[in-house]
Amino acid sequence: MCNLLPNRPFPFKDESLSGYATRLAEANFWPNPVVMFRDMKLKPFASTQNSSANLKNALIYLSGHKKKINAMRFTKNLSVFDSDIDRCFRRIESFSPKICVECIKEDGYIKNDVSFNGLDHCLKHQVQFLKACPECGNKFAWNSDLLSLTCSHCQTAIKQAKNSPAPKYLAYIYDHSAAERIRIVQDLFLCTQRIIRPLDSIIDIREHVPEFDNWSEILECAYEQLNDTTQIKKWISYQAQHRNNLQPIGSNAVFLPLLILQQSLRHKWPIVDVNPANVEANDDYIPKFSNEYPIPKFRLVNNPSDCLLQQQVGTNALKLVLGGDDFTIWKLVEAGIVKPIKEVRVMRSAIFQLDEIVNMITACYQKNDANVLNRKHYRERLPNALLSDLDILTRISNKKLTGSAAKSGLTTLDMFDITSTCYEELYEESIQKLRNMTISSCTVKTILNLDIRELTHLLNTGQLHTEIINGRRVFKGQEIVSFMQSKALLINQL
Amino acid sequence: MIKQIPTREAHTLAFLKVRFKYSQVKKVHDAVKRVHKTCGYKAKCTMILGESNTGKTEAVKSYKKLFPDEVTNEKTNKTVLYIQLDEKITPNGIITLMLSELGVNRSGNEVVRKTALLDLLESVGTSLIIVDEIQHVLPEHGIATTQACADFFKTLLDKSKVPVVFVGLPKSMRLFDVYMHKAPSKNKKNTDTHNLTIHREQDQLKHRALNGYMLNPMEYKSNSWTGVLQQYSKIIGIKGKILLNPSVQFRLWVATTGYIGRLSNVIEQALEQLDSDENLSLEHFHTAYDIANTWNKSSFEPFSDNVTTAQLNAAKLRLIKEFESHV
Repeated sequence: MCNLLPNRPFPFKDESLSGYATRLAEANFWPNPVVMFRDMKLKPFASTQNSSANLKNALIYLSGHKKKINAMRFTKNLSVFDSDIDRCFRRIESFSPKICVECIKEDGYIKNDVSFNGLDHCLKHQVQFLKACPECGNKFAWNSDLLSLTCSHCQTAIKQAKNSPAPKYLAYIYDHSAAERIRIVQDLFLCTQRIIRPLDSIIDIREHVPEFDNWSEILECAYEQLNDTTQIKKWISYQAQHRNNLQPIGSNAVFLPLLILQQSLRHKWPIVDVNPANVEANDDYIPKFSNEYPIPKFRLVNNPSDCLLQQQVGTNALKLVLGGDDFTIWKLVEAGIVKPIKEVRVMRSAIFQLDEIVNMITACYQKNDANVLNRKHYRERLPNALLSDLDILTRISNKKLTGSAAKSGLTTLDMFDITSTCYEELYEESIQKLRNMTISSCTVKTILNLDIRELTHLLNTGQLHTEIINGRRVFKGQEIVSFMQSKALLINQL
Repeated sequence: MIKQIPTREAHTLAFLKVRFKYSQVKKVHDAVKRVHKTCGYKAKCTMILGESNTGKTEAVKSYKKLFPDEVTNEKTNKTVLYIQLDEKITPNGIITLMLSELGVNRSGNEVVRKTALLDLLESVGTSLIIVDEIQHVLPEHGIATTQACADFFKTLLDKSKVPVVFVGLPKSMRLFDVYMHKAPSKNKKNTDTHNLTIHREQDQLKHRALNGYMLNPMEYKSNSWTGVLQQYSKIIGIKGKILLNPSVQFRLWVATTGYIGRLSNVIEQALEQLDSDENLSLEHFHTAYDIANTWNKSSFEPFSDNVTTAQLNAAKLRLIKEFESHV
């Protein structure tokens, strides 16, 4: 048996792949593509739909129209986002059919534009696409009845939906070039996450957009949130009020949902220029859709309480909150100082609870007023004693450092003013360790904040000396400490 | 060392690939054409019968070649659909074979598959169906399947309006008289009368049939026989000049009893014995006959140098007698 079907209609450039599969099935007298795929011993149609490459290959196998199928617009359209972890969905294709009755009457096929979640409005005929039969309410399925505009359940003729003006976001998308459209759609879908859960810091990263009836309405709200300054300000002040308990660990933690959104946007939206510090408190913002949206199972299992979802962060966002680098976060997790909600194989997929960090920090605040050092003052001197943010955070978690809350600060470290005596003890302890060490030239460069030319100059002028131990050229810790004392680089010399 | 897969000699392959029409093939084409005309309105069926090796399949395939499949980008048009039945086939199996030949698989019950087949036959523009090895639907133990197949073809003729040509052994005629050939039942009385009544009601396929053609072995010295040998000699070229020799023609007839399939087999094997600078000789035919002969169990050697004309004549008379008694 040859694999080419006897009847092989040509695909149209702007035709939906699933729609073409339906047309191919109809031309060869199958009731629907599901049966055609099963009879022709191909993978099930439903699973093939998940990957347009697989569906494309199956259709080429059946029809032989390789060039025409490859030239179909789906390869260059909005369906495929890149696999950036900050993107909420990789694909926004819808697998259930949506139709514009007038378009099918005029063209005889189902267009590609129809296949996208949220973009379900026919700009040509100014109607919303139909997803279900207006008579019986049953959702449409891919079958040949659809092309003859008959409901396969109640066998009545499908009538055109009532005219409704196109949503603003759709007009905005189509006003831009193809390349820009992808960015706009990506950003809109990213913002929908903040519409669905305005206080949640985590982006729902999934392969496909979950089936949800309100995408069009949510996207419209997302468009407003990205464009309308009043709306943006309302959202920011709503965050300031509801995440106020996170203030002890920095304003980044309070405005994390906004920060993540601002950092991840790719199109130029007004929201990027809005500074949360300049927004006044206002409680007009009304969150929508939160109850209906399907939350990923993993998060639901771990979060029986709805409000806890507001205080959770991913690994990247935790970096923004704490103020350390990737290595600091990784070490903190490894040492068990910051614990993820659930152990995961990939570190970037971990989720952390900000409440716990707030508790950890506030437990170290002392009651009596003592001299404190702000991060601005001690930060620059940390490398001199081979100290890092990690050491500070480790000692806070072990309650070996006390301090008080700063008036304002972006990150947790900025917000923690260390008691001077505590810091001096830590510093002295570290300098003592340094005295007994042999140090490599790389570390010396870090401690003294020098570049290689400056270090070479010090060696040539005899201000510093090296020794060779086990074949390696090293510096003596004692000499380095003495050098720092001579140059007044130590903290007690400030 | 990699061993080379044995293949036929180039001149043997060239001989096997050439096709030509001889008088019997023309008659088969005429019979097929008669039913082919009926496509679209009151479609008919016919039988092309013949013993094994009489060239039935080659004859109908050569007719099919007159109407090759038209493959365009959007469609495959199959004007003539050719299927070869498997043993113990049922109507469902026939549908599967036809659908497979059209390029599709269909699941579902028989009604759904049949409807799809009828739709597909119309869409691909099929105007004739050739069903080879039709004897495989004949009743060997029971008649139910045979009757079901006869009914299936009757419905196919009526609904698709596509004529059907059945090709098979002479006993295939029994498809038209299914109940006539049922074994008498021991339990029921008046069985014959009962069977005949059903027969009258059921043998509707026969009423939609035209007389076909029976392919027989060629007679010695007939135009067909000499014509075929002349054509073969022409195909083989100078190496096959011996085929025009009346004595060799006589020996070949005695060896093959006029069956074109057997003749082709003997010549094929003779050509395989041939070196590049040799011409066909009696010696080659002698060896070829030893290899190809699966039909004659007697020790008679028609290509031996010692065989006299009298012995050949006696063998010829014996073969004619055997054939007539068999018929």
